[in-house]
Amino acid sequence: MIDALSKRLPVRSGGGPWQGSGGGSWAVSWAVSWGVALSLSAVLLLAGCTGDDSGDAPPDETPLPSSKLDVDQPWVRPAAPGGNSALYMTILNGTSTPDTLLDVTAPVIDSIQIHQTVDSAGTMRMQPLGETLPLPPKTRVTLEPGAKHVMLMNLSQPLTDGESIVLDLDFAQKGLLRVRAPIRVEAPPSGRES
Amino acid sequence: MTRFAAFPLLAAFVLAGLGAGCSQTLDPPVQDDLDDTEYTLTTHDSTAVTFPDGYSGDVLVVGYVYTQCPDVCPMITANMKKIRAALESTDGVRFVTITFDPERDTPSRLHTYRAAYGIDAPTWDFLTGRPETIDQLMKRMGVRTSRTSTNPNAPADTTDTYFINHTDQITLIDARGRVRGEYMGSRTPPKYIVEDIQKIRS
Ligand SMILES: [Cu+2]
Repeated sequence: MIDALSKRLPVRSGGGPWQGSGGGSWAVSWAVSWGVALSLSAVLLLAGCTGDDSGDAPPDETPLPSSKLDVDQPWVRPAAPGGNSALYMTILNGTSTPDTLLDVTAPVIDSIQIHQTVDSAGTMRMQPLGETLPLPPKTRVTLEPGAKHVMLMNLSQPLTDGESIVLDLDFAQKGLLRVRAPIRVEAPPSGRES
Repeated sequence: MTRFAAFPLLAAFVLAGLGAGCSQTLDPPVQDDLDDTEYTLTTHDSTAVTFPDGYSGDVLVVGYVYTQCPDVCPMITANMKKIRAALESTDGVRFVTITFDPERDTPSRLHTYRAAYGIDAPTWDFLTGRPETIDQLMKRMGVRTSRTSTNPNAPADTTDTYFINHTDQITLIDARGRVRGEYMGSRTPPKYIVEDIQKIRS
C-alpha cells in the first residue's frame, strides 16, 4: 500500500527518523492519519493527478503540418543574469525527411545544451541528450517541464517573467526559424497564446 | 498477581495508550520539531534572519532551489505561487525559498532572480547563507544535493561550472517550528498542500 504510494510520490528517499523505509513521508502520514480506506482513494486521486495536473499538459494535439517543419508554442523560463533558462516547445516535423535541431541562438545566450530531466529515487538530475536534437519525419517532439528541454546557458541579461525573447532556431534541413518566445514562470495555458 | 492488582495496571496501560494516541492526533502529524535548531541566514535584501525562529507564529511553506536550475526548480517555485494563489487568505502564512547553492546564490543574485520570477510579496523571502549553515539545514530538512559538471565531457572533479542534482521538495512548517508536511516540490498538486495548510491554521 505504502509502497505503491511512495512510488507514485517519492517525497524523499533517505532521511530523518520519522521516515518510513519506503520514503514518502507525506504518503505515510496520509496512510497513518486516514487509514487504509482513505489512502486507497488518495492513490486513485494521485493516479489521476500525477500525469497531467496543473495545466502543464500539452494542448490538444495540433495536427502535423503537411510537408513542413513547424514549432508550436515556444516559451522560456525567467533567469538571472549569468544564470540559465530552459526553452520548451513542440517541434512538428511534417516532412518525410529527418531533420535536426542544431542550435538555438540569441544575443543574450552564451551556449545551449539539450537535456532530459530524470528522477532517480527522488533526486532530480538533468541528463545531457547530446549536442543536437533529432527530429524524425512525421513526428512531433515535445520539450516540456520536468522532461526534455533546451538549456539556454550563461545568459548575459536577465529574462523577466511577462517579457519575451526572440530566438533563432537552426535546423539542419529547414535552416533558420525565428520565433518569439514568451518568458513565463510556468507553461502557457492549453491552447494558443496570443 | 491478583485480579485487583492487575486492574489498575491495565488501566494505566490504557491511559498510557490514550496519551500516546493524543500526541499523534495532530493532522497532519508532526514529522520533526525544529525547536533545537537555529540557522542564521540572509535574505535577498541582505537582512539577517534566523530560520525557522524568525518566522515563528506563521505557517511556513519552504521550497529549495538554486538559481542556475531552469527546469525543476522553477516548477517548485511555480507550485508555491499556485499554493499562494489558492489560499483564500495568506494571513499567517509565509513563503520561503532557500538556495542550496550559497556560493553562487548571493543575496543580490537572489534579489534579481526573485524579481525575474515576479515575486514581490514581502511575505516571501529568498534565503542564502554560509555554505556550512546551508549544508546543515539541507541535511536536517532532508534535501540531498550533489554537484555535477555542466560539461558532460569534463573530468568529474571540475569545479568551475556545475549543475546540482537535488531532492525535489516543499516542506510545510507550523507556527511552532514543527515540520508537518513534506511534498514533492514540483509535482504534488497544490490543493493537497493547501488542504494541509488550512488544517494547520485551524
Ligand atoms: Cu537542463
